[in-house]
Amino acid sequence: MNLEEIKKSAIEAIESATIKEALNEIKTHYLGRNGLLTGELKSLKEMTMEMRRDAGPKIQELYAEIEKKIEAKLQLFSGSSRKTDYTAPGKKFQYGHIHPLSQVMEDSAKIFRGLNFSVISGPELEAEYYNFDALNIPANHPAREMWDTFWIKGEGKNSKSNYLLRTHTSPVQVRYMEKNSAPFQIVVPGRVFRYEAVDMSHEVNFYQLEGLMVGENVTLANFKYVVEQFLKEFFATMDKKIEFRFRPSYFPFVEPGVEVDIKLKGKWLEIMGAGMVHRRVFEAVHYNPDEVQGFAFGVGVDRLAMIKYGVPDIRLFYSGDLRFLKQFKSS
Amino acid sequence: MKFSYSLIKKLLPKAPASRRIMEKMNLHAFEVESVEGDTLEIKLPANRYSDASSHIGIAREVGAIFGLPFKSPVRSIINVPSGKRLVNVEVKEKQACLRYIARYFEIDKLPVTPDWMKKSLKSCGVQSINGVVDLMNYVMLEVGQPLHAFDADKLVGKIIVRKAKPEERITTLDGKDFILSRNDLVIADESRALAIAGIKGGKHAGVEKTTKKIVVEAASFDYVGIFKTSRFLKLQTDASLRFAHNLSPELAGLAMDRVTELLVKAGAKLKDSAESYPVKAKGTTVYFDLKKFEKLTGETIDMGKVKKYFEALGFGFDGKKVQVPAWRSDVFEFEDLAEELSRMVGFGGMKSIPPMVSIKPTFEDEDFLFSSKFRHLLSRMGFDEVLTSSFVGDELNKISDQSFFGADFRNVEVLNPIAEDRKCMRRGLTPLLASVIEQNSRFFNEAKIFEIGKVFAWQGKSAEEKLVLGLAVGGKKKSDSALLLKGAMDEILRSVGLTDFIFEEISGHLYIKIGNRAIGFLRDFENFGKAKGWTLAVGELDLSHIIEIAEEEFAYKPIPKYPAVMRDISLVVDGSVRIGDIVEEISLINEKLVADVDLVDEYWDEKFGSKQSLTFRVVFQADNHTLTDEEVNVEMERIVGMLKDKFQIEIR
Repeated sequence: MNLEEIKKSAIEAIESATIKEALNEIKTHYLGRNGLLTGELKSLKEMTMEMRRDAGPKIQELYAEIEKKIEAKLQLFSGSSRKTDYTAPGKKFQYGHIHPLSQVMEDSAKIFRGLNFSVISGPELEAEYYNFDALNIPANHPAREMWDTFWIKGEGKNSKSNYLLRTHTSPVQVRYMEKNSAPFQIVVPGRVFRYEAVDMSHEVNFYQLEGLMVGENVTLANFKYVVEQFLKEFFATMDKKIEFRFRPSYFPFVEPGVEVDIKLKGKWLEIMGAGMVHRRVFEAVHYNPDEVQGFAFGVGVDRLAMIKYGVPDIRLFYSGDLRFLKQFKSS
Repeated sequence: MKFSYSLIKKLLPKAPASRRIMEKMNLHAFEVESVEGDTLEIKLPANRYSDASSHIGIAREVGAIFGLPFKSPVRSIINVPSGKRLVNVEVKEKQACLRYIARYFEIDKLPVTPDWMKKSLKSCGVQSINGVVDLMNYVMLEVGQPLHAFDADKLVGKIIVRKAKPEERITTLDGKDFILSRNDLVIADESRALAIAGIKGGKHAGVEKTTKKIVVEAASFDYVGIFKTSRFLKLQTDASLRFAHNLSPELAGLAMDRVTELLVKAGAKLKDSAESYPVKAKGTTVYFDLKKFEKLTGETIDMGKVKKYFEALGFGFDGKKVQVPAWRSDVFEFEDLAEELSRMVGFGGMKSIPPMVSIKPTFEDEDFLFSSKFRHLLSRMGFDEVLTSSFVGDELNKISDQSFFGADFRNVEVLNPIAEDRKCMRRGLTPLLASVIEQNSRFFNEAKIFEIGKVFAWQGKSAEEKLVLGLAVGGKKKSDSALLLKGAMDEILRSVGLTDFIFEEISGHLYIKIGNRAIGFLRDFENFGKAKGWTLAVGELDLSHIIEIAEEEFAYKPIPKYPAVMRDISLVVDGSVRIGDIVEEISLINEKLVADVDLVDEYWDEKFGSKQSLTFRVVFQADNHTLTDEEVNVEMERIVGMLKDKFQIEIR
């Protein structure tokens, strides 16, 4: 064995030692009276002066190094000094977990605040007027069939005192515009309700995020830019190069109406409905539709979360099952 | 709605393959949901039935999208015989029936439906019945207008369009009985109702194999009436679906001419006709302004293209005015035109431009802001967030006997619940959170959860909702659930600057009050449901109110200059003595010197019997000098004396 080999085998032996006794054996094997390195030192005597001058310090250096390493490791095993055992598992901090839908809403709100949007809320128990009439969906219009509605028992005499559970976050558009003037840009996250059979992709209560931007010159092109920015940032951790598809669609409160799809990891997904705010909606809130224009959109929060976290069944979000919820990040 | 590819191809011979149609229609018109064999399943928007719930409409769209010229197969028939008294029509409800055309034909024998027509009907999900009924359905598929044929020999007198009599009965073609009301419109003769107008034909006077004389009806109805009757009778048919979507009365004329041509070809003879059409539907004229289009969309387009697209859609355009045909009932103002142009250009190809706005400070409204704040605070305190259903049953809602809605409340109930145990809107979060803990008791030994959500109740005549924060702590043989929760609620309130609240025990429940108003409550449960051996505490805070009174302001207090002295008192006292009372009395002994009192140990052993052993830690501090041992000893003696006096304690 040459010096390099001795060094290598000694270090390996020290590192893999798990008890004190093993280290003592290693010490004897390399540094003891009949040890390998001791032998090397002894063999110096048989060398020429020149060779000795060259090899001597190297052997001594290695001798010192191995000795030091063994001492250091022995320290770890000396139980009496009560030193920290760093290899023990770290202590667990019992943080709670934030619901994935809350996370999606907070993350979305953060992205939109970065785009100069404010965050607004509205009531879940809503008047028929705000949920439908003011959004250009008159009573007995077949378009109402697009929203399966939970109606509230009561003696409402007109559409302002007739209650329902909001079927979308869009009524907040009307409520906001009644109290504020353009220009503005807002997003509205919140719970909505649909009267439908519950299955893997449908719940009777779920969450939406509404967006509304109104000003003198807010265009369809601006809409494309804003939703592209939002979706790119929202899905940035999953796919840095998502693609977009904009298709014509129909919602009575927008015109033109658009449906947005994204291609995420090679798969096309329907993601949101949108469009330019309809003239009738501006009229309902006493804006002059010839002076302002803007866009609105609605995106399913549950759907965003299902896509982002790969959750196959919407019902899991409302199950209260901590085995599911504890998988999501802590505060 | 189902469409037949071969029928589209018949109307537009150059139509590309159905897959290509699907792809391009999705981007330029509406959603083609699937292509299976000859059938295209198309999701028509609610406003496009008048022009597009027909093969002519779809062929026109396909032509416009692919730049293929389309020509309608409908030829108008002139010299229609009339006034021969073979068929007479009286429309009594001209508001409800906008147009009624009847034509009388004689035929030797029923025509045989050709195979290609049977195939198209089948692709569209329509059953083949007989040569006449099939023709009616075929023309409906082509033009989009439902038609009906009567056996003229079975009609008594004239055809009358009227409201149904109270409780008037009718048996439909498929043998089902319906009881009508005065709101429903019927097609009748002088003896009975023949059809529920716009919805379904009656059994009587249907066309059979032996029929020799036929009256064909093409009518147009007010869509609201059809919608209401269809809902009232819970009877939706192909016809009612179409009529409820506001078909243009012009379609009736087109369909009648088309069916006349086909019947005559099949050997029938047109002998007479009658029509009621008091107000003729006209197309509209809409001004198109290119600058306005560019301002709305941010997209530039040249006039040549605009003209090309409008004409392909069947509109007339002279550079300024757009003549919209009557069957496009959805197009009547500028934005409608902008939508047509945008989709023809294609939204995908349009520009994406950052908005130019004056930036201003953004904000989060208080509900969102505070919810988010509490959510993060609680998760750091080890609570997991859950979201539960807004719907509960009566039983579960009763558990919310405490709520923030005062004494005079009623449950908010759903008119159309999905289940009996989901018929109320939750009045509090307590029962829901208790259930969540119960479910999780199978998998965990301990759970700490919270939910932030809306709760509902009627207060007098107004339906109210409140934002509530609910918390629950539970565990197997866990004795400190309620106190943990009390501490958490205390912390939450302090986190928004609230300090002037008190805890008050009322009939076994703990209330948190500011002045006289309860802003929170908490209660214990033992063995809730299946959570055997678990103790559980659930609390709620009235966030709507807390948000209103929260003190965001915060000012620093100087760090105390003089050191604090800590002393413990261990004592044995009767189990009925309330710990809170002892703490309070100690605090009051010298408000200047006693800075804090806390319970640091609590112990009970059989040998104590009905007594409990408690250790309190008292912190003394003065703001103007360092306390001496003697001073503290004096206070301690006073405390012990007071405790012996008031609570009969023994010092251990």
